[in-house]
Amino acid sequence: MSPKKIFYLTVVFWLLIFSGIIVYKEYTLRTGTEVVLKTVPVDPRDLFRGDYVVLNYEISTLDLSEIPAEDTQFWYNDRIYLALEIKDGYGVPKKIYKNPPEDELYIKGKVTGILYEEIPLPEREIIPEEVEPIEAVQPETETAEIAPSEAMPEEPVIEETVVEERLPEEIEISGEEITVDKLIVEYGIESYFVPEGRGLEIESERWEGKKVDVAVVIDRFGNAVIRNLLIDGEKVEF
Amino acid sequence: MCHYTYMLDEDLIRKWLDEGTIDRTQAEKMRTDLTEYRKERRSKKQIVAFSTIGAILIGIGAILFVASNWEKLGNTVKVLLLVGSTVGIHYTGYRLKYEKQKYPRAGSALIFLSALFFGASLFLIAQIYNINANNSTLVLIWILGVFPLVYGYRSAPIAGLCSLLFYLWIGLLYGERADFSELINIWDLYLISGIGIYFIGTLHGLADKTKHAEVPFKFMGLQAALFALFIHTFELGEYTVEKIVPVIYAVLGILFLAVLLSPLRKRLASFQADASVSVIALLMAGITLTTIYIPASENIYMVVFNVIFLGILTFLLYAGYGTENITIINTAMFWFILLIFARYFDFFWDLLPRSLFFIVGGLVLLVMSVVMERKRRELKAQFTGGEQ
Repeated sequence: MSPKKIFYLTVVFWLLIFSGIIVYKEYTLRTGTEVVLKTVPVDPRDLFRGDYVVLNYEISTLDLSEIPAEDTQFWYNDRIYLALEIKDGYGVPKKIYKNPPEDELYIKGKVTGILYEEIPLPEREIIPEEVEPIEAVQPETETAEIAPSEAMPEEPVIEETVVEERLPEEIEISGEEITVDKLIVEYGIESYFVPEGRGLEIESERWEGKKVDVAVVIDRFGNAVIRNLLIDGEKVEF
Repeated sequence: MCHYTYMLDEDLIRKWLDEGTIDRTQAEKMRTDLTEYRKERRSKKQIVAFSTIGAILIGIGAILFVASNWEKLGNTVKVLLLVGSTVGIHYTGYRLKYEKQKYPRAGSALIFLSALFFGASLFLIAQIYNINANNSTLVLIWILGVFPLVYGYRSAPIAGLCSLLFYLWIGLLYGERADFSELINIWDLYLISGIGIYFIGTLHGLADKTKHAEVPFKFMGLQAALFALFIHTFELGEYTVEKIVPVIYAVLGILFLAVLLSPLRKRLASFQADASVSVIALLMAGITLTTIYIPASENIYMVVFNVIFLGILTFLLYAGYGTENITIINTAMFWFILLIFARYFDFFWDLLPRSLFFIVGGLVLLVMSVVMERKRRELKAQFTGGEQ
């Protein structure tokens, strides 16, 4: 192939990549539905793109005891579809699906962490030996450090156990011993890039008690793009 | 890595003169030509070095421009500016290298610069649409976007850039996927990647059309492999391995050996260095397999990895001398010094009073620098026939 052809092919290839990303995101922005989500931001820095605000949404942690789910078995990197309904102007979770629901506004996410509900401690004694789910979890749980007298209260103690660093296969979640309690989910809208040094301003406004929300646009495939950052309902301009 | 400089030196010319193989006029002509050749070669190297460093600096500048997220310019203007610059720089590079052909080295540097600008443009677009930070997919797109240029324009610097981006990509991917840490230790992942990239470099050395990418791939692969091995020489705590890890090491080692033992080996200029990297893969296959069934304490692993690291460096030094490859020797010496530093701090920090620690350390460094300087000068003189 001649260098001239390689040159043209490269330029076309690169422009296709650039325009592909732009078209993909613009499609969502132009055809999607705008939803306001509640957030809790902090300010870090990206290697190539500078300052950004980390957006931790209320829908980033899904409590399965409060939100109905199509299926309660979840694994890391599972794709989920969270149906949303609008309440008081905010998008709030309605139901968790494993497949895209029909006729509902939903946002696509990926499970990046699972919180398990631990069983009441007194019940451990009756767990069949071959199951041994508690022993598998104990080394990384808070209850592993509880003294025997504290670990045997009169009323069963329900504690949340963070096991994000473990493979789900290691934990016996069948039966009644340990069940999925909460899901940590990423929607691809967890970063909001700001001009250099401005992230701290947003952070300080949050500490001043101002409400920080995000207006996102969700297309019919569940893809979301951030449209605006809102402080006390006002769009942040840079 | 393969800067083979089989130069005719003064001794050889004198010998031929004494033997009567050449006469005085021919000897004089050879001397003049050799001086000219050395001057020309040095000048070419300087041009490549300056233009590549210049391209890297401008590329970093472009990335920092994106990172600053300058609010005075609108998003559309920024995209047009950066994408336009990317295409413009690429076109200028192409013109200089292929159409005008007067400045091939500057042209190559500009093509490399356009590959950096491609990444900067990509990250600008990602920034505008708030695509999640530290996203591995963006780095993967950058690699895919510029990798074809390694072959299209026979660009060695872009091969190096792709290797670097590959390491960055696996690092980010490892951070994104919590389940990866259950499967493989990050240092094993980098060691495997380094050996893999080195192996790819070896494969590139087998064909004339891809030979230009051999050196950057091998260099980047060797550095990553040695870096990961070096990290293993510290007390890292419990070393656990999943069954897949020894399999990957073994497959890589066997594939490597198959190439090295095949008739293709005649095409490989740095056979001994290649062999030492394949030995790392096979040794690691053995160690990780043993770890699964007979796990040892962290101190034992530390000793084992120190011995292996030292052995590999010695082997590389031997390979460097054997093939008269100063880059391999420099690499081995660099990591050797780093190893000495690390162990010096590990073993003596707590044992000696601090003042003595620094005085002795300083003296060791001074003596080492003198010895290294002399040795390096001797080697360089030996390889280049007196050129310093």
